[in-house]
Amino acid sequence: MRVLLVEDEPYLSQALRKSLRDEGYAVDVADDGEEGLYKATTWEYDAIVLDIMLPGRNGLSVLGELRRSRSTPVLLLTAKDSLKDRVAGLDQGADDYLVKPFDLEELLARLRALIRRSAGEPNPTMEIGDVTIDTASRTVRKAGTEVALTAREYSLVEMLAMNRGKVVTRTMLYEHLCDENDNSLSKVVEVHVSNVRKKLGKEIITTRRGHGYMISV
Amino acid sequence: MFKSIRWTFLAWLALLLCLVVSGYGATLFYLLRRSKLQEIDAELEGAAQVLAERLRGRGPGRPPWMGGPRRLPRLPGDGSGGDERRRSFLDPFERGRDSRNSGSAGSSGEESSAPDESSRMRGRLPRRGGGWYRGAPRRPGFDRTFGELELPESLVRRYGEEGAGAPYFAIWRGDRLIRESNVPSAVPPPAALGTSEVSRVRQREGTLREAIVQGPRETLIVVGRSVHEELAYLNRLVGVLFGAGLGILVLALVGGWFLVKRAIRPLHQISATAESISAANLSRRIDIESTENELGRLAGVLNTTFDRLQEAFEQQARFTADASHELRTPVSVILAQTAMARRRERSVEEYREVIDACFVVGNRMKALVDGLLTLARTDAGDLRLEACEFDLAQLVEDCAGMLESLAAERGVALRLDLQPTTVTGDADRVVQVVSNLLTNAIRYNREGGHVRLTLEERGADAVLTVTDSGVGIPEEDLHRVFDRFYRGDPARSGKCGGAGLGLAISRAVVEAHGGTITCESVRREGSTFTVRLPRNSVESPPNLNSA
Repeated sequence: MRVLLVEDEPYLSQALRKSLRDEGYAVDVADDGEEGLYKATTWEYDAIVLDIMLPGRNGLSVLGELRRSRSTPVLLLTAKDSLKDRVAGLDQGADDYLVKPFDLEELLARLRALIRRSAGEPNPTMEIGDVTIDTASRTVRKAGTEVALTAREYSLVEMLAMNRGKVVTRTMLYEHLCDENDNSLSKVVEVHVSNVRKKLGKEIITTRRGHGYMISV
Repeated sequence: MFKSIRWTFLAWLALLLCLVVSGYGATLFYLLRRSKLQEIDAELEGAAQVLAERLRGRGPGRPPWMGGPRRLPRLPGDGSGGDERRRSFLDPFERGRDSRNSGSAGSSGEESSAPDESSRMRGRLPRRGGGWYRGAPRRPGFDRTFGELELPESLVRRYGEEGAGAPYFAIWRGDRLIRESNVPSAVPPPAALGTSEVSRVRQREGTLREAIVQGPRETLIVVGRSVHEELAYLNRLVGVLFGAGLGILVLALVGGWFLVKRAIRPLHQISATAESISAANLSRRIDIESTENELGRLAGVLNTTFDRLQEAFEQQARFTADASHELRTPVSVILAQTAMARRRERSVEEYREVIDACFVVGNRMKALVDGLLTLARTDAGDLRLEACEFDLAQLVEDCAGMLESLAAERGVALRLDLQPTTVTGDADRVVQVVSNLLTNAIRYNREGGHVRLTLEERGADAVLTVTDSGVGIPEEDLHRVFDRFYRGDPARSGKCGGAGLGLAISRAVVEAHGGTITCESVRREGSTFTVRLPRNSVESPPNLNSA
């Protein structure tokens, strides 16, 4: 999953970026409104964490502009705490509103919820055959036994599972699993798919030659 | 309840009215009574004088010792038997009050108990309880006069001949009663009149009023009558006056009650509205119908006060909100950094980074808290400043030295044009001010720009100007520039500037020294901040302590 973080306070941005990466997200960062808008409209993100008080362009303005072309889930993370502000933010098109100072775990949980909802997989636990994917704890079980997957492997499985029944192209996989700082290596995806098949069974991921990969329903 | 204005007012009104009405009534009564009694007395005295005159022979019926034809007064029922009558006179030299039937020689000798004219004419006087007073003079002539002596007809006619109010008279000589007529009870001998006294009046037995006049030949003539009717009338008058007074009092109080009620009705309105105005509901105001009278003015003043209170409250609320808002960002940083560090095992380097971040941000919070505290103290009028003498030029130079690196970083040149100026004030605080102005000038500047500092003496003040070639301040914001939490760019968080308290604190410090700080700016060209500090501020502000 790829997330865009638009926050101008550098220490906060750094802490969030690290935490999100630890959670297996690919994280892009912007520290002013214009940059944030540009990135949000240029790439596909699974979620955007957006501050309101930004230099250059105000977060709500960015959101308004974004909503004209994108339906990316947006979580507003801001120090503006009044009821008026919250209502205004949500009405502008945000999907969630979290006030600073916030609890990190809460932020991560809300982000997960947003992504689940937007992928149409509201159940935090997904079952594919005898494989169970718990998105909250980021663990995978095969026939009841936990299987150790690397972060990348898990992300791959999660992404395919979220889009189960749909073909996910390699490009999409790259877009969603790597952030702007990653160097895209074409081999990476195949290697990970192969490793996942080794751990969870061949049938879990289907290859559509020329198109991409899929987890079937 | 009884402490209300209405009751107090009415109580005083009642008291006042009581005094006034009873004073008036008492005076009235007194005057009436006096006048009445004077009237009575005059009448009695007059009658007594008439009798005296008659005795002296000036009235009808000359005294026999003057000789001449005797003319008897015409008496009712006059008829025959006049001679006999003449003979029945009191002898002035004989004792009176003699119930013996003496001296009625020649009279019919009747002893009828019924009082009638004939016995009167004879000098026999009806005595209460029946019987007669005897008293006929022995000596003819003078005796006759005495016997013929009657009270003036007018008096008799007015008050009746007999009965309770009928007038009577008695004539004394020394302690001897010579003649009595119609007396209701024994007349005590009057005391002799003084040399200057023409007449005297006395009152006996409650209702008998008597005038005493000097008659001829050392006689004292007493004319009196029972004034019980008049006294009764006066008593009734007291009652009437009292009742009327009471009625007036009641009427006035009732009227007063309504008037006061109407007058202070607005007070209730004001009270009610003011009571409903509380910290939660400061926007209500008192309805003023008319602003001319005192209550209208009071309501107006109260409304203005409420306006100011509301303003102050709102300011406070804004300040608190702004302050806590400012603290949100640094706190979120610390929480996010430490939460992230705690989630899993980190490298020493990572931990070090987290600690560094917390440290920097913590210092920012400290600066914010210090700034807020200073401002709070200013608000409470509690800003304590130390006073010492120092060279302001030197202080500015030192400041500039400290900020040189920042200026260099931004590509901003600092130019100083300072005159040595000795100033008395709180050096630490003044450093804050200068540093704040200079930092702003550098930060809000452009690459390749400059900041010019000038200092000179102007009269009793030291004048410092800080001019920058920066982005300037929009005209509509100029008046807000010294407000708390005002920042040029609202999104600028604490990371590269203060919380927006710098100028507010600078103003507070400058004003505490008794000085002024002003700002001029042209957008996109730059701004100039001017600080005037009295050189000897020990004299002016109240919160400078001598070091």
